[in-house]
Amino acid sequence: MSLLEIVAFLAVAVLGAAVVATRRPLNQVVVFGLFGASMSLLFFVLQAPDVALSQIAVGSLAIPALLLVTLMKTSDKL
Amino acid sequence: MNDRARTVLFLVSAAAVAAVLIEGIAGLSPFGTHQTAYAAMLLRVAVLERHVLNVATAVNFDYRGFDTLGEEFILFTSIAGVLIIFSELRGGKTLYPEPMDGPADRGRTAAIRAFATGLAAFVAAMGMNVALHTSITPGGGFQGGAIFGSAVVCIYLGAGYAALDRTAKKSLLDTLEALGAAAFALIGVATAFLSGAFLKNSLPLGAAGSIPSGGTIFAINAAVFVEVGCGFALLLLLYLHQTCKTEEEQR
Repeated sequence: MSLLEIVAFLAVAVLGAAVVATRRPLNQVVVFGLFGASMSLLFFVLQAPDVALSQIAVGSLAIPALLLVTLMKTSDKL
Repeated sequence: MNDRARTVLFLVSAAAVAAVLIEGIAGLSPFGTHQTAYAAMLLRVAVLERHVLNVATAVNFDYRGFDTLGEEFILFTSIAGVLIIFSELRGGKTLYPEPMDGPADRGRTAAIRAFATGLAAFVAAMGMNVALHTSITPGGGFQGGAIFGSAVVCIYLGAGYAALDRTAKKSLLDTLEALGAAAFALIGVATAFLSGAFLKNSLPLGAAGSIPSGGTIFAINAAVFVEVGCGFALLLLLYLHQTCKTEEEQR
């Protein structure tokens, strides 16, 4: 396993756990976006660049954006 | 159930799950060494048969094109659902929380505006670039469309919702999205008439390595780009509209 693979796997594991461990929803969205970015790095390292591109756009941009609006709408403050 | 019993139950189940996971992962063959017969065959024939260098594209839009058609309609139906829920439930004129140059807009400096709106142009161009090179480099209509649609968020960050609402036409995006989805299905119907099989690649393939190569692959890719690009932009617009109140809700 190359060094980059180890780094990518560790980043996904640590950030995935961090998403669960983060209590405040607003912070959680940011951590979730970072987790999405780490997933796209992992896909890229594992030679799936097509999936990595989808993951960047959907996992670290679209979903966090939709979650932020939902939070704003349900909590009346952001 | 008290906390103690709950913790014990969790630890026992977590240990069981961990045991199964570790057993399973230990039994996997090393990464990249296990290749199915299907993958081996496609890697051998895809470039010769379809003149497409990116085999993932050949699989998505041709060999498994019917699956992708289903996936496109999943996206189309979801966005239609959001459209129905969000537009039908809200009446009255939109009240913008942040009129351009209004008091709420002062936190946004000229530098932020210029950067974010410039970034929107770059993101849109990047999306088109990724979609255009589907048969040569990684990515394609879906990825390119998702990147293209994200430009909406950049405009929102740079200029605010009021400006976005004035420039982006939801009805146009809606129509284009539907046309993109329909075009994919119609290409299938047309090929069925032309060659006797639904989605059979029956257009001239072009030279491998050139931009419009792959026959119907390139046409389907264009349809998917239009559908996903407009769909994502519409979805983000609908959600961002939720940041505003309407006159009815204000009362």
